[in-house]
Amino acid sequence: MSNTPDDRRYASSHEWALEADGKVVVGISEFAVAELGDLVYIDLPEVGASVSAGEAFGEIESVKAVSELLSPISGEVMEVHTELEDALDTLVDSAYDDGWMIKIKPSKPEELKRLLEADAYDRQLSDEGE
Amino acid sequence: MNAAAKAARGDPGKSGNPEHCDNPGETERDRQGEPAISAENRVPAERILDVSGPTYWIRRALWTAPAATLGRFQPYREFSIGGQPRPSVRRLTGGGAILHDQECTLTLIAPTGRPPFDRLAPLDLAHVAADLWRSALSSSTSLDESIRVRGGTPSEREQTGVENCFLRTSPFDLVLRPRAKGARPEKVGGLALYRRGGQLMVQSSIRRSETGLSPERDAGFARRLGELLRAGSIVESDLPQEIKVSAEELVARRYGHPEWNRRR
Repeated sequence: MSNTPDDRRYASSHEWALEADGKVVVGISEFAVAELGDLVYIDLPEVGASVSAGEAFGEIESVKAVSELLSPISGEVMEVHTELEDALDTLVDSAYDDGWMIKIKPSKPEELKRLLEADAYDRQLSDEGE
Repeated sequence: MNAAAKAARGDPGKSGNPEHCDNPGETERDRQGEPAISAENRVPAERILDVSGPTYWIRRALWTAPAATLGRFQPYREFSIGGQPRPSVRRLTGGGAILHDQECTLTLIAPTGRPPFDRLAPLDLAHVAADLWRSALSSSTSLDESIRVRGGTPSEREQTGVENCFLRTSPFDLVLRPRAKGARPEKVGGLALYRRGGQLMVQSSIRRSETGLSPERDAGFARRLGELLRAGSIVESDLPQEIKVSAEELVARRYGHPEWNRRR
């Protein structure tokens, strides 16, 4: 049975976006966390930074690789989960809740509808050989 | 700018869909040029990453003077190399510091949308890259079967305090088989990866003294890598002018500034 929450949308690059109180909360999926392996560092933007859909908002280093984190939606960064930098295991334990990364005030809310719903994201994972 | 080393690139064929193209077709490779200083040597690879698309690039670099490059998130420090303090420049890739002097510095930039890099997990990508490097080194030097990939379980997370890349161990290290029973395998090469969008960068540092590589033989090593990637043809070229110009801009804006390199 899928563990993919159906209350949010997903980018094909494995970030999730959850609308809450006029903001969009962003993180990465359990699948992505598992694929990354041991996490070493995370670099998140500062509050006030502008982000664009499909563009990098941060970077994460795992064993052997640094990977960009892509924003699923455009807007302004309103909150940053800075505690993650010293508690990367939070991502492993709670990718969909306590492992959130940033909260964005969307400038193009319609972009959210272009993202995948949970079942479509699950199908993508199946195609990728999960 | 002191013209840096040169690169190589390979296109996925002049026709057809790259994802379904077994033969990547033309590959163009940047020839090894004049040595460059540290920032100028690292930045062009980032610019190639921005423009490479479905094309493979292999870039070789020489150094005008010993230099240190720091892993993406490594705390800043300067190193003394050859008895002289050297400023450090930050890389895109992670891991520990690399003290560059006489080693072979080679960067591969490849699309991730097709084999062999059509995977998400960094460990899978690192496996593929390490095997490629081992095969290329084995067949382009006299090392033959004495070079291998270390293997084992990743423990990089416990080694973030070890500054020098060559003092860290990774399952993806290139090592020489021990000559004596009970001796430890000697690390002669390390790899580090960076992913941006659909592109993968693999930066490598290979010790020449232990592998028999030389500035003259690096070209054969790079060519062998291209062959293993099934590049249809390999084209050597100087670094394209537009990449030189945009790299200079990036050096001026970021990597050339000590404060930017010290940001951690």
